[in-house]
Amino acid sequence: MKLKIIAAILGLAGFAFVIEDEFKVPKVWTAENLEGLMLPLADPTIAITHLPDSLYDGLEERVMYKTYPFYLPGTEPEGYYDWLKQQEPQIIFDATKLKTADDWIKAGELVYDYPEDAGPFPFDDSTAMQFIRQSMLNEGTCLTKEKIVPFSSLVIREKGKIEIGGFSCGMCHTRVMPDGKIFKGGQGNNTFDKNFGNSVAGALLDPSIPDSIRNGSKNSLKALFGAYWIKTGLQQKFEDLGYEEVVKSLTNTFGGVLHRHGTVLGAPTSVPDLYNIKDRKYFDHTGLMRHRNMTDLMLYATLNQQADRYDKYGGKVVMANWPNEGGPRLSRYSDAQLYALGQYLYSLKAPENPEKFLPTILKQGERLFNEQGCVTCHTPPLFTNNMLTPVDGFKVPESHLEKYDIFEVSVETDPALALESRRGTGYYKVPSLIGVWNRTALMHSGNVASLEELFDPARLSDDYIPKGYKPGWKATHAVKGHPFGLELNAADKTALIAYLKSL
Amino acid sequence: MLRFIFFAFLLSSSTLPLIAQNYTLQKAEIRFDIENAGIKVKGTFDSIPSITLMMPGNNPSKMSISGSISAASIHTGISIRDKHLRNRDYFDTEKYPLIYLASTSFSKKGNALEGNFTLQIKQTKKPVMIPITITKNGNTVEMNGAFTINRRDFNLGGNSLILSDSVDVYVKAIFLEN
Repeated sequence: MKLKIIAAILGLAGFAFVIEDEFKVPKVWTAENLEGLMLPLADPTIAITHLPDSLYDGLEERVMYKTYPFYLPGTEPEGYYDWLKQQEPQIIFDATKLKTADDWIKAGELVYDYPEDAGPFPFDDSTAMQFIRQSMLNEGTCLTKEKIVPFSSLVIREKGKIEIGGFSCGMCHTRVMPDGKIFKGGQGNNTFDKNFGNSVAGALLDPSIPDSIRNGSKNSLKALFGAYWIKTGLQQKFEDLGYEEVVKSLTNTFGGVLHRHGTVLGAPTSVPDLYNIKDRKYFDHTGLMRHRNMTDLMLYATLNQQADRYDKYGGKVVMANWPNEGGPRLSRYSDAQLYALGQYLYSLKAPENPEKFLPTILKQGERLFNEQGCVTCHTPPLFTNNMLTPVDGFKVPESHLEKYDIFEVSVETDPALALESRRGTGYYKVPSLIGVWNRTALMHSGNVASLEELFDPARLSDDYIPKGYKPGWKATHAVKGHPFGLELNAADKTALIAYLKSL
Repeated sequence: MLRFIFFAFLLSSSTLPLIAQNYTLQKAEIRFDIENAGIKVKGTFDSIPSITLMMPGNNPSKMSISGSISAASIHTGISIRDKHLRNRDYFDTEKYPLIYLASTSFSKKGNALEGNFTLQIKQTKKPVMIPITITKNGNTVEMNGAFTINRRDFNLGGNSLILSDSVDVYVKAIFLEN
C-alpha cells in the first residue's frame, strides 16, 4: 500500500513536472537563436547586426498595466476621464500566475493589445480633443459600436495620470468590421499611415515652418525608410521628392496599408493577417525572417516592437545608436511576455466568412482555382506553399536553394519592396489565402483593394488608377504582375472569387 | 503557377526541315499531360524539332529515329508557369537547351511494334519503351506512340503533394516517302 502511495505521489510529481515543462519560457535573445533567423538582404554584402545579448538584456522590461478603452473624443461615457483619474495602477501581466494553456493564451492577448509605449493624453484640453476627434473622422478611423478606437488604449501607470498608448501588435492587426465587430489577428484597418502623413504634413507643408526644420523632418523619414547602400529606384526617388509628394505618398494609404519602418516610401506593406501563423515558414512579405519555431516568432515580435531600431546595416546605424554608444534605452518585452504572445498568436484561427455561396459555384470556383494554376503556389490546406518567389531583377544564389524554400520564378509584381528597402531580400513570400475574404489591401503593397480588382486586366495598363495604394507622385499606377485568372470570363471570375472568399 | 512538367514536341503543320534518308516529316504532334490537384494539364513545345528517320528497306523493325527539341519552347498556356518550367528546378534550359530522344532498337509484338528509346533530359538518360503503330496510306506514313515517364527520374521538380510524378506522353508523326 505504501509503495502504491509513493508511486502515486511520484506520478503526480512527474505529471506536474510535465505540465510545468510544457510551458517553460525559453531565453529568447541569444546569439544561437538569432543565428540564421534573418534571410540575407538582396545585397548580401550588407549584413544586419542585432544588439548583443548583454545590451538587449539591459533594456527595460515592459511592465504591463491595466488599459482602458479610448473612445472617439466626445463619445466617452459621462465622467469617464474623472473616473479614470481615480483608478489605481494595476499590473496585469504576472507570469508566476500562469499555469494552463488557457492562462498563457489569455495573458498573450494582453501582451498583444498592450501598447509599446504611452504618452500624454490631452483629455482636459478641449481644443486638442476636438482636433483629435475631427482628424479621426476625416481619416475614416474605424470604430466599434461603442465608438471605441480599438487600435489605441488609455493606460494608468500612475494614479491621476491618463496616458494614451499605441504601437501594440493590435494597432496594425486588429480589424474592425462594418458593424463594429472586432477580429483580432485580422488584416488591420487602422488608418495609421494616413494619420502619420497628416502629422508629417504639418511639419513639411506649413510655410511658417523654417526650412531647417522641414529638412530635418524629411531626414528623420530617412531613418524610417532609408537604405543608405541603395542609390537607385525608390531610394533615389525619395531624395528627389518634393514635400507634397512625400506627404501624399503617406496619406494615399488606407486601413490595411502602411509604410512600416524598413519599407520604402512608395512601396508600403499590406498588413498581413495572423491566422494559422503557426504553420507559416516566413514572416514579412519579403520573407525577411524565418519561422522555425515559436522562439523565432518571439524574436520577430521583440525585434519589430523596438529591438530592431538598434539593428546596424553593414555596420552602420540607421535608426538608433546602441545604448552603450549614446543611444536611447528603449524598452523590451520580457521573455515570459513574448512566450505568452506566441501562445496567443498560435491560437488564432481565421473567422468564417458570413457570406455564403452556392455549392455549385464553389465547385466551379475550385476547379478554376486548380486549372488556372493558383493551387500550385496557394496549395491547400494552408493555401500557400510556404515558399519564397524571387522578384524580377534578383538572381537566386545557389546556396539559397538548399537553405530556404524557394519557388524559383518571379510572378512579376513590383520588385521595389524586395529590392529597394531595408526589408528587401529579393523575394516575396507566397501569402496564405485563408481569410482573404476579409482583406481589403491585396498584394504586398496593397495596390489593389479587392479580389475583383485583382482579376481585372485593366490594372496592367499604365493609365490605370488603382483603388488600392499608389505612390504620391503618380496620377496613374499600373499594378503589374500576378497575371493569373485575368482572362477568365465574367461567370468564371465570379465563381473563382466566390471560392476564394470561402477560404 | 503550377509546377507541371510538360513534355510536348509540337511541330507545325508546315513543311519542316526534316533530315531523313527516305522520309520527310510532314507533321508531328507530341502531346503530354500530367495531373495536378486532380486536373489534367496539357502542354506542348512550340519550336521546330530536328528529327532523323531512317527505315532501311522500308522495314520498320530496322528503322531508327532520333530527334531533339528546344526545351525552352515549352508552352502550357500560362506564361509564368512556362517560365518556371525553364528554370533550374525543372528543365534548366539555359544549361540544357535540348531534350533528346533516340531509338536503340525495335521489335515486333504481334501486329504492334515496340521501340526502345533513350530519353535524355538535362543530364539524365533513361530507357523508355514506346509501343508504336504505323499506318501507311499511299506515300505517307503515320506513326503513333505513347509512353509514361516519372518526372522525378529526370530531376524535374521535387516532391509535391498535388503534382503527379507520372507524365503521359503521346507522339504522332506523319512522314512523306521520298
